Order: sequence, then structure tokens, then C-alpha cells
Amino acid sequence: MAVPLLTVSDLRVHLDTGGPPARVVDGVSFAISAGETFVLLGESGCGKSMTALALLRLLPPGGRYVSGSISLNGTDLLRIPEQAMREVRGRRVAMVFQEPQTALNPVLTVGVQVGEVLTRHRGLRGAARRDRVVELLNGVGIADPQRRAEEYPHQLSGGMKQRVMIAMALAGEPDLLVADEPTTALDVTMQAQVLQLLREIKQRTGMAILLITHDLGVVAEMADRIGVMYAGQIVEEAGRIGFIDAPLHPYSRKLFESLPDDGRRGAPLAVIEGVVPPLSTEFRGCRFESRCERRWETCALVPPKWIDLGAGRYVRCHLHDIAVHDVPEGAARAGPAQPVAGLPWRGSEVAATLTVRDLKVHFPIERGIFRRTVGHVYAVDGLTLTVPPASTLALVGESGCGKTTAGKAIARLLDATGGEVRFDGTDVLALRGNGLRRLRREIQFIFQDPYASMNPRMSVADIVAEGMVSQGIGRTAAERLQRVDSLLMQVGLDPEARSRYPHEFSGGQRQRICIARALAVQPRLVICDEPTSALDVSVQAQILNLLQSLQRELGLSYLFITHNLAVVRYLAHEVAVMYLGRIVEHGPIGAVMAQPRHPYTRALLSAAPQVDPETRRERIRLEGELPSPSAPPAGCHFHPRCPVAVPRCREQYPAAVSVGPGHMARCHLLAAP
Amino acid sequence: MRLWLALQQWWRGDAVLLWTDALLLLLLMALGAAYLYVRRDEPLRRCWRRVLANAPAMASAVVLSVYVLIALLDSLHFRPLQAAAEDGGRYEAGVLSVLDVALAPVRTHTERSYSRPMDIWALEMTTVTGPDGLSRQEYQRLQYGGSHLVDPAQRGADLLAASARALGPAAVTVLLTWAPISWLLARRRGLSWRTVAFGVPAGSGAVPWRTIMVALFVLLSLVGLCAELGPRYHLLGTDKVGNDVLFQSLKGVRTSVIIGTLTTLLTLPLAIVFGVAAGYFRGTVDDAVQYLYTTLDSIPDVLLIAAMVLVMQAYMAGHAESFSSVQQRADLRLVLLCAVLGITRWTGLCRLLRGETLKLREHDYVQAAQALGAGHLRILGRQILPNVMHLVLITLVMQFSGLVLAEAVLSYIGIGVDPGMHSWGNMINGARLELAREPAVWWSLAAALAFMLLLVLAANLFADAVRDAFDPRAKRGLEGVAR
Repeated sequence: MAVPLLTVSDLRVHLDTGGPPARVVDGVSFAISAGETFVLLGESGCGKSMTALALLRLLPPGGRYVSGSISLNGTDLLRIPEQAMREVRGRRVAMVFQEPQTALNPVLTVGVQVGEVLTRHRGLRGAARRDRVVELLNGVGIADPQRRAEEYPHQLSGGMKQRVMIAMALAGEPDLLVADEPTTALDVTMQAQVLQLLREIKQRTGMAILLITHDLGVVAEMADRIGVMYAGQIVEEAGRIGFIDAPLHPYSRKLFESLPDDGRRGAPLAVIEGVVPPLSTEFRGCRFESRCERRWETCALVPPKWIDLGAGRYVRCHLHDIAVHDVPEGAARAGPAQPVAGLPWRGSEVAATLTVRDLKVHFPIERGIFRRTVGHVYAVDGLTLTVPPASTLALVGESGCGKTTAGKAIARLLDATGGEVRFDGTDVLALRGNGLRRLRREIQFIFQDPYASMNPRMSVADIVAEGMVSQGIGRTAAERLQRVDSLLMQVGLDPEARSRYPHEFSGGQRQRICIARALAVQPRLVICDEPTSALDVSVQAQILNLLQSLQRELGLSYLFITHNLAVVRYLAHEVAVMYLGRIVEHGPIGAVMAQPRHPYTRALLSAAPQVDPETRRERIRLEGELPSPSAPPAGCHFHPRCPVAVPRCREQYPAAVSVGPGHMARCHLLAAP
Repeated sequence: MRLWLALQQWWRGDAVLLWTDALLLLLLMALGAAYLYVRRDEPLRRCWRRVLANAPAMASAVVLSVYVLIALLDSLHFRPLQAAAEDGGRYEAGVLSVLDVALAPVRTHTERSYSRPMDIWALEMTTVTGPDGLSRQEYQRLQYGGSHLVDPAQRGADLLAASARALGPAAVTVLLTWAPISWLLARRRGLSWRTVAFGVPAGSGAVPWRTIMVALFVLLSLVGLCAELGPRYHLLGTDKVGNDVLFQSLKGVRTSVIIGTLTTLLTLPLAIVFGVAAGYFRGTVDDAVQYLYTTLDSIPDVLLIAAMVLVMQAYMAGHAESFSSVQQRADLRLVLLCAVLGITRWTGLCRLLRGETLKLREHDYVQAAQALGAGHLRILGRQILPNVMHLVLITLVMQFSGLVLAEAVLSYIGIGVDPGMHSWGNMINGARLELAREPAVWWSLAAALAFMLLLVLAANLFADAVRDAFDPRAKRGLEGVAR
């Protein structure tokens, strides 16, 4: 291996937040060579981002270096003065942040912001600077760079902003690019574009990349080498192929096993019980011990050593330490606890079907003093779908395609402009007053962000009982409390939780409380709006398992809104692909996944990062962005981005074509000539 | 002692409930209810605990509570029994407060005219006709101030001795207060009384008891000083007609506290109902509320207040027969002033609440409540109101000091409280011309300003602590790091 570009050895960072210091980075060592992509993988709260910030000496207030060294080309970054450090930042090490929305200054044009770096680090001015800005923007794949350089951040989409961020990072021509979850805030298609861009840049410039992510798919696509972080330490380090084929640390294995996929359909996903321990605890043995299924006595007592297995593989686990002799045969403990038997269910034999026909939700665009309507945002524009009884329909699409709006309109949280929604024969859109309140019992909604969907001022008991009070379920407070207890048990929480407040729970537990709240009114259809996208992989597995077992026990139907295709493969019975307010393909999961007929579905499927290299499809690059829903393109909405568009696509919106049993797609190419 | 007698008199006497007294009572009851509510609500209790742990805030709280106590004593009004009236000899046939009676010596010791603080001589010479029949100009001894001194040279020693006497009881009282408090703390924490009684003042524990006790000691010393010296000297001098300035300043406390609290009490319902309704229902309701407060805001405050006060004055002058006493009239004017101030002040809070509600109503948990079939009132009461209450509380305590200052300014320009009412604004107004005299009479102004400064400073420090504890944005930085 060549001389490493960056060597981090035994880095320890503490964060003082009042109380005992949090050991956010606790003895981390790794090295990155030029032209290499090193991925730090881990759940939230394990210290990945803090490691990245520590490299650039950008620790938040309260953070301090305890020991260790960061050596960049032989210079110890912790020993040079701040003045010299400023030369390093941007010039030799550049950073791309997770949230492109907040990392750009909204009152400066994009060109000025990129140019600033050029002036600072490359001394470019005037026309030379302008030319270089355009060149850089061009280099990150921004079309029409002259014009874009004059625009402000709000005029760009999320993916474009992230490209600008990358252009800014590249402007200093750094040796190392630190990218902290650069694609987490983006759609799959955008994510594919940005990852592709990073790969190309690496090849072109020979730059090293430190990529921080929690997404195993991204790891598989990008990494040369991988460091798995857990509770402030690196617990495993390996090359990509070896890691994906055979992860060694029990934590890494669990991460892979908890990934939803079609191979695991029907069976519950593996889950990692518990949460990452607080970093302020005084660890004695292995940090993963409390959540590990293969632990034995030694694990709680002796901290595992950093074991070199040769060929660039390292692991921090007693199982692989030849010096540890007392490894028990198949050290394991009982599998995940089974959910407690639930409540008696009311009328599950009469399963309901939701049918949506030609649903429209248009928002008027108002201008001027008199609020004249000058146009409409066609958020949902003629949506047709059905949710069969006791099954799951996944509604898939990029952000901005109107899937959340559609869900909210069906649940009557937004007013629809037109169309028809029938639930169990009732015309949902016509309901008023008491009828609407009764409908609220049948259709429930689970929100994306479990942090925002609970009132921080209410106790868990009040939150769960909210619906029962509104619907008059349970006559007395004591009776309702009893039901709250059994609901909490049903979603896998201790009934003791009822007197606590939302902030005391982790993301996964909060989502469980939200599910309990929805179940409290005994609904038959639950609309889940990306319920796991704010959660870690292992926690996501817990929630998906819960949703699946509830469906079996209670005969629930789900309308599952998501952009995560792996979840769709694992959970859904049917899938509907949405593009710009309309369904472009709708069919049974097996048929759609195996034989996607619409070009958009095909592109979407190929864009999703795949962990398993063998199932990886040929990539169909989707150019450009989702068009604005206020001015959808004429003809087929997809034609400007479609790789196989024909002239007819520009003129006429394609009709639905049946391409198999229960399988529909809207594409001119499928219609009989 | 005297206070106890005064309270007894009030108890036996013919209690009179003025408008402001009733409203103040209502406010106290609301405070009690709020306390009970906070006790049950865990997140609120956590916030208040943060306030309790803030040393400057707790010192301010001690100061504020002394002010409020004075205001309360001054709000227990009664018509003294005939016997008492004869006893004192100089009572008017009016309504007195417990404070008036407790401060009877200070109140009734009126000199001829100005005197310096703690002086025993009048400020100006008086023409005296001597026994020989000639008129001479001479400085006369004050009638009450230091009248017990035979030799004027003893004044310094007497003052010092009295001050020393005041410190003793103050220290004893502080220790006597600490004993039961530390005993309670010890019982609650399950520690021995000794560890708590000696350990906590040394700085252990969350609540800064040491600061509280020191503040209490300083204030009690001041009170002791007043009690010791007040009846014998004019501690803060006298004004033009010989009234004691200390007494006037103390009477001004009630006026300020009432303006500061009642105005907010009157504005709150307006601001909350309009602000939350506008933000939640939007559309026409929002338009109407917005037009209302934009219009109100575009009229200069002082003009609006002046106009309303003048109309009010004219009305009261025309209906003089409906007020049975001077105090009642002055009191009603105070209430109306509060209302007028309130009308011009609710817009700020209303706008704030509207903005916050607009934001909150889009939150997932409000939509979740909608999805569960909760009605508008239920959503407003359970989801929105508890989440805007921190704004209300912060505004409330921040507005207090502004209102105290506003009273002074308005009284100064003559559209504030009744000129016959004791208030700091009136004192400052009266001191305007006195400053131009030679020698300058500065003590009225200084006393009013000092009292006001202490109150406003304490209120501001307390408000800062409350804002820090309740504003969710203030803590976000740290939480973000922890994630």
C-alpha cells in the first residue's frame, strides 16, 4: 500500500455538555491513501460526524481533543496554529455537509460562493475566477453553468445544491474530500447522480474521499475500504468485497441482516435490540455487549482488542481473538421477544377496500394584492389506485411527486379538488361533521418524523388516549388507561412508559408510540408516510417487523408511502409508482420488481444502491430533475427525462395499458401499435 | 408589631374592596391555580427548575416578592373604626390600607416643608418672631425628624446605633427562616439536618439558597433600617408640603405593581384569543385580526392613551356623584389606565402568537390530532395553547418592567394616574421644578428612581431567566451537538 495521505491514530475527543463528558470519539485510528474511498459506517449517535469535524478542527463548543494525532502528508494537524489550519481547510481537506439547504448562504449567488473559495485558496480574480466557476459547475454536471452561477440557492433543487457544495469543495483542489452523508437528504435518482459524480471526480483527480454514511447500499457502491463505527470506536475495518461477503463483527452482521429485501419477505427481519449506549457511560467490557446475541461472560468484563486478521482486515471482537479461549459453542441468547397477544379486534372479517379514482389536489398560486389566482400546483392530478383488504400497497416516487399530498387527501387532512375516494363503499370526500369523525376511526395516519409528530407537552398516556377521547372510546379515564397499557404492550413498549414524555424516548420508540396512537381507535386502513426514513437501519427493521405482525394479527391494510425500494420489496403486496401527481405503473410486487414495464420504474429501480453486487442492475441514468408540478410537461409527463421517448410522447398522455394480471402501466411504447 | 396591629385593625374594621384590590386578588388566585397546574405538568416543572437554579433570578425573585408583599399590604383596604379614628386624631373620613396604618408614624409626621434626608433641620429658614418681638430668619428644628435628640450633635451616633440595631434582627430573621427550610430540604432528600443546613449554603445543591439568603438579609436589613429610623427621622427627606418621601415611595410600589400586572392580565385574553384564532383558522378571521392590530399599531401609543384618558376624565368629572370617596375615583382611574395601556399593548403578543400558531398548526402532531377526529376547540386547547404558553409567559414578565416605566412617563406628562395618587411618576413630575431650585431638592426624584430601578432591574433579570428556561430555541444549540 502506498504511503497514506491521512493517518489518524488513537484520536480521542470529549464533548462537555454538563455532567460527565461524552466520549464521542474514543481511540479511533485509520489511514486513507490518495485515490481511495474510505467509508465510515454506523448508526446515528456513534460518533461518525464528530470524527469528520475533528479532522478539520471544527469541533462544536464543548468539544476538546484528549489525545491522538491527525497526520496529513506528515503534518500533524493538531499541532499547527489556527492560522495554518485555515490553509488546510478547503485547500487540502474540503468538506461536503449532509444538508445542502442550510450549508449555502441564501443571500449570495452560487457563483459568488464558489468564487470565494477560488479567491481564498487559489488567488483567482476577475475573469479568470468567473471562468473557473463556470468550469467547476460544469464539472459537477450542472447544465447551463453560466446562468446558474448567477442564481441564488433557493432557485436550485436539493440535488443541484449538493452539486454546488461539491463544486465548492473541489474549488480548492483538495487532496481529501470529507463527505458527511452527502446523499441522505436526496432522492434515489439524485443520490445515484451524486454518487456517480463523486466516483468520476475521484477517477479524474485522484482525490481521496472520506465518506460518512449509514446506508449499506452506498457503502457497496462507493467504498474501497470500510470502517464500521460503534459508540465512538471503529469495531471493524475491511476492504469492500471482503466486508460485504463476510462481515466479521456481530454488529456489522446484524446491520446486513436487518436490511429489508425481497429475499426476506414474510419472515421477520433481524433486529438489534436496544440502542447505542450513551457515550458518557464508563465502558468496561465490549461496548456492543448489551445488544450482542453472541455475548458471553468475558464480553462484559474485558474490552476486546483490535485484532489484525491480515489482508487489511481488522476487528474488535473476542470471537476472533485467538488469545481468548473460553468462546462458548454458538454463544447466543434468545431471539427477539414475540409481541404480546393483542386486543380483541372488532369486525376484522369485513375487510375494507380503499378505492381512489381520479383524485385531484390542486393548490392555487396567488399573486398580487387581490390574491388573484394565476395558476395551480397540480400536486395530485388524477390519481387512481386501490388498496385490497388486509394487504399493503406501496406508493413509490421521488420527493415532490405528490405522494404525501395524496395520502393526506385520502385521510381528509387536506381538501381534495376533485375525484372520488371510496372506503368500504362510503364516499369519503363527501363526509362532513359526525360522519367524518367516524371515518377518522377507520383511516389512520403515521407520520414520517416521529420527533415532530408528538406534542412535547403531553405524556405518552395522554398522547395514546387522545384518539379514544376524541372518538368516545372507553367510558372512564381508568378504562382508557387500561387500554393504553395494552396498546403499549402490543407495540412492544413497557406500560410504565405511559407517564413519561416523548423526549425521553429514542426515534424507534417514538415511532412505536405513534403506531399505538393510531391503533387506539381501531382503524382498518393505516396510511404510513415514510415511517422509517428518519430511523437507523436496525431500528427500521424493528418498526417494519411490528407493522407486519400487526397486519397479520389485526388484518390491517396499509397504504405505505415511501421512496425506499428495499422496504417496498420486503413489505408490500402491491406497488404503485407515482410520477408528477399520477400513477405510471401499478401492479403486484413480484411482477413490478421482476419486470418493470414503465421506463421510469426501471430507472428508479436501477438507481437504488444495491448491497449485493450480483443483483445489481444495469444502471439507467435519469437526467435532470422532477419538473415543477405547476407546469407539467405536455404529453407524457416523463418524456423530458425518458431515455426511450418517441415523438408521440410529447403530444399525448398515454392511456393505461394492462401488461399482466393486475399489472398496469401508462406508456405509449407498451400500447399495441 | 405595628404591622400585626394594623392587620388586626383591618380584620376588625369595615373592609373595603376597591376595583384594583379585587383584580389583584383575582390575579393571586390565578397564580395559585397556575402553581397547581405546573406541579402536575412535568415539562413545565423542568423549566421552572431551571429558573430556580439561576442565582440572579432567585435574588430578583426575593426583591420582587418584597415589592409584591408591600403592594398586597397596601391593597388591604378598610374603613377604620370610629374609635381608631379618634385615637389617631388626624384621620380623614376615608379608606385606609393596612400599609397606611402600619406606617402611621411615617405617614402622619408631616413637616412644614422640605428637609434633607435624615436631617433634623429644615432646609429653609423660617421667619420667627422672637420673644423680643423682632422677626428673625433662622433654621428651625424639624417637628418630628430627630425631635428626640436633645443635642443636635448626637445625630451621627444615633443614626449609627440605630442602623446597628437594625442589622441584628435581620440576621436573626434570616437564620430563623433558614432553619425550617433546611429542615424541610433535609427531610425531602433524606439527609441529616446538619449536612443540609451547613452544606447547602456552602454551595451544594441545585437551588442557590446562599444567594437567596444573602438577598433576603440585605432586604431585611433595609426593612429593619426603615422600621428603626423611619418613625424618628425622615429617612428620605420630605417634600414641599412636608410629607415623608419614604412613605410616598412605598405607596408608589402598589401603583407600579398594579399597572405592571393588571395591564397584562387585561391584555392576555385579547392577545391569546385573537392571536391563536388568527393563526389557526386563517382566512377571513386572520384578515380581520390583522387589520385590527395593524390599524391599532399605526396610531401613536401616547396619542391614543392621551385621548382615552381625557375622555375618561371628562366622564368622571361629569359623574362625580357616583364615587363615594376620592380613593375610589383615583382607583377607577387606575383601572381604566390599565385597560387603556392594555389596548395599545396587546398587538405585539398577538402578532407573536399568530406567527407561532401558524407554524404549529402545520406540525405533524396537530395533523395527527385531526386525523384522530379531535375538534377545533380540543386541538386549540390541548395541542396549540400549551405550546405557545412559553411565549405568553416570556412576554408577560418582559412587559412588566416596560409597563412600570410607562406609568412613570405617562404620569410625568400628566395623563397617567390620578394626581392625588401616590406614584413614582407623580413624584418625578413633582420633582421637575424642585431640581431647578437652589439648593436643589434631589431626594424625591432619587427615591422614586431608586425604587423603580430596583423593581425594573429585578423584573428584567427574572424575565431573562424565564426566557432562557422556556424558550426552546435557546437550548437548541446544545441538543444539536448531543445528537
